[in-house]
Amino acid sequence: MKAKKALIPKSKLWISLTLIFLPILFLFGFREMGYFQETNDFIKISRVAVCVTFIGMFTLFLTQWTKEDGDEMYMQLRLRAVFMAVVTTIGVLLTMSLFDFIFGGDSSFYRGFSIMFLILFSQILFFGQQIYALSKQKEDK
Amino acid sequence: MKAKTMLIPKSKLWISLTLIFLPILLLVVIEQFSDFRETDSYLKVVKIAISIALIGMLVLFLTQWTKEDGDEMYIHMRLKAMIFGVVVGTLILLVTSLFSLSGLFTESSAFAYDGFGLMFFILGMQLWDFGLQMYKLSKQKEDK
Repeated sequence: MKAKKALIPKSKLWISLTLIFLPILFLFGFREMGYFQETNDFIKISRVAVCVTFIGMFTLFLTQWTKEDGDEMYMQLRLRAVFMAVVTTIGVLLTMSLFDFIFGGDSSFYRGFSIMFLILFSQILFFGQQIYALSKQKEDK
Repeated sequence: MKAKTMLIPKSKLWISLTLIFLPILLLVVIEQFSDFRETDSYLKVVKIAISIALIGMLVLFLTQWTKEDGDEMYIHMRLKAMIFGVVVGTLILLVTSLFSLSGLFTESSAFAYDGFGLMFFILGMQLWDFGLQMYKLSKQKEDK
């Protein structure tokens, strides 16, 4: 099936985990060693590192978790997860805007990186939750 | 079918269009007729207006364009469009960060660093990709 081919086999899970954690680890290392003298350079490098982590989170979302993964049902689960993630993010943006307006705060949540992280994280969270519920259902049967 | 009932009928397209354009229109009017722009609240109101416009864009994405819309094929097209939006959003962040690292442009010109700009871009890409797929499909049907 076409969709199954697009997914990354579970045996290659190390790719996404490496993409997620290696840049963060490198950043910690660089910071500890005092590699970057200027804060501005460190911010610029950390942005690139975070983007690589985002790509890792996305490949994690596209990992084939079970043998049946790639079927219509799993595609619908993914669609629901992405949709829920986008809805959650817009909801959070609106809520924060209203909170700032009513209570007079100035949230730092409006940054593109926070938004992207929220989208990708809630995508994985919602998809994982659905997969877990499905495996529970199968166990009960 | 379950997916079909979730979609918003084309006859109710005015809801999404109102949600998109009314907040922007109101902002323009407010800006023209008062000194509201000078106040601190203006930026906060702009953020609320943009959030409502973003909801409108999402509602537009969930509009049932044809009678068959809601079938498996259309669900796949929507999934592809949503994934395309997220991928392009991530890539634009990466490219912007790399450009910024190499000093090719200034920080202030990077719209992707702003959450609202990025969200608008993702939803815009989703709508564009879904529209493109719909257009290709209608062309294919016409050829037959």
